[in-house]
Amino acid sequence: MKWTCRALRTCLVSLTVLTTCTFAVAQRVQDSVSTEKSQILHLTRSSVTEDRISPSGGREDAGAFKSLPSEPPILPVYYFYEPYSMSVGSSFWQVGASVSLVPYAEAEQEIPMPGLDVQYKRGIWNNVSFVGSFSTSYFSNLFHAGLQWNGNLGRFSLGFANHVGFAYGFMKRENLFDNVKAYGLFYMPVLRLGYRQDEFSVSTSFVISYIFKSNSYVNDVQASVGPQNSINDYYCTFVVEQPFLRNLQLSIGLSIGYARTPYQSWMLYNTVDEWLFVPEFFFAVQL
Amino acid sequence: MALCPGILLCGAVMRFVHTVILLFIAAEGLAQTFVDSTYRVELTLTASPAVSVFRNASIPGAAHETAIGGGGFVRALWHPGRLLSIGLMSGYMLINEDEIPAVGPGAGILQNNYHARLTAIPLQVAISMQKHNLDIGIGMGPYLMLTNIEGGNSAPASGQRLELGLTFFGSYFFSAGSNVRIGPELRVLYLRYRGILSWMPSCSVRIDALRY
Repeated sequence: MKWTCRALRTCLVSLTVLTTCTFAVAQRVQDSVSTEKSQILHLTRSSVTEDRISPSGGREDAGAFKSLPSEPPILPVYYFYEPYSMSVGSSFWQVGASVSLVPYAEAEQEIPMPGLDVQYKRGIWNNVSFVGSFSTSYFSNLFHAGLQWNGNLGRFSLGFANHVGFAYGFMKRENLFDNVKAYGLFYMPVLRLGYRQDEFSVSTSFVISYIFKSNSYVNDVQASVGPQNSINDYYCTFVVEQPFLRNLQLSIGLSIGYARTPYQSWMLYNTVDEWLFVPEFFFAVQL
Repeated sequence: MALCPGILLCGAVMRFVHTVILLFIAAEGLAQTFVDSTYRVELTLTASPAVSVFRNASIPGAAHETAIGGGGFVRALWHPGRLLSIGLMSGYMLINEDEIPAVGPGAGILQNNYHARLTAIPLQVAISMQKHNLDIGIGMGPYLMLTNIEGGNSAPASGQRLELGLTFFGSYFFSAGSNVRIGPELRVLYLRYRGILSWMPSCSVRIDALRY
């Protein structure tokens, strides 16, 4: 575990250094062509926001980038993970997929667990949005939703969300599992940090899940009482969101979690009373 | 031959892949139409030495936990006019090569020590972001790990196994022609199950195989 953390930390440092070089080069080039860029007829949907954000952090009049009379109106760009303030009434759906690795301590081998994700975000008040997320791998299902406060200063953005959620799993396989079911109720505070470039956005989320109550059943008979009134998960998620292929908005990210009882592997006998490492890769597209 | 279950051959994985492709097509169909910029299919060839660090000794009883190797890689990426490109990556890499001394009562009659090799073939999906000749990306997916032991009076023994790995790469390219670029690249391979971290300073050549 210690060696794994050290190796992963080394890789993350290398990636961070290379990414920082990318930002530096991109920023220098952007500054040199900013005047030329404003003359481009077809401003991409991703290169402007509702109020243009200047590199210095101040807001410029959106009229400075008014499209020509014959051009369609410039639309604001919102991303799911970036905690940028949304205009009231705006909303979008996002669908995607994820692959998480079941912990070795439980599975005793490498088992990638695929999942399907559906997410929804809507601006309901100034700086407040409603966020919902549903993840399923058929046998394991997770739903959580709540309100998220968003604020931004120039290109930086900050968000704090309070979600409540419900996890439900079921499985019946001959000679493997009897009719097994499990559920859990949890609270999930989320802290999000974002930084928006003209062509993409980078954000990080820190998540804790606090389980109120959980139970499992075998053939409808209560088998055991799961975690209750305790913290079950810590997650750190790193996401890059950007347009891909015309105006398709794409989120790609990596989530690293430490969990007592990962929901993806609820059906396995967890005889290991320790925090387990659960990496997950995901991507999603806006509809 | 041992295969990690459900990585490539399982029907559930294929259903998942089909679902992902359908979602992608549906989302792209709902996206607004827009004037496209240049789309490219890029082929990148990379050659590199490798320094690998092992979590445990590469051979039981061996004193060292590092190894020198090398390999060649190729990745084909589709770059549809934005920063992001996506594609496939493969290649061949020698991770470690060791001599195992033959000791014991019968050692005097053996002609050779045992020779062990560990090689890997990446079979990964690669994504990268490219801006002004700087390219940063990641490859995700399985590596086909191949082991081979031969020597002494025994028949060669070999094995193979699919293991998940991550490959980080970052490169900067200089123009060497209308469709050819060349430049340095740093690759970092992480094999979590086996506990191997490999650093590969590389040289890469990128060819725009297709532009439209």
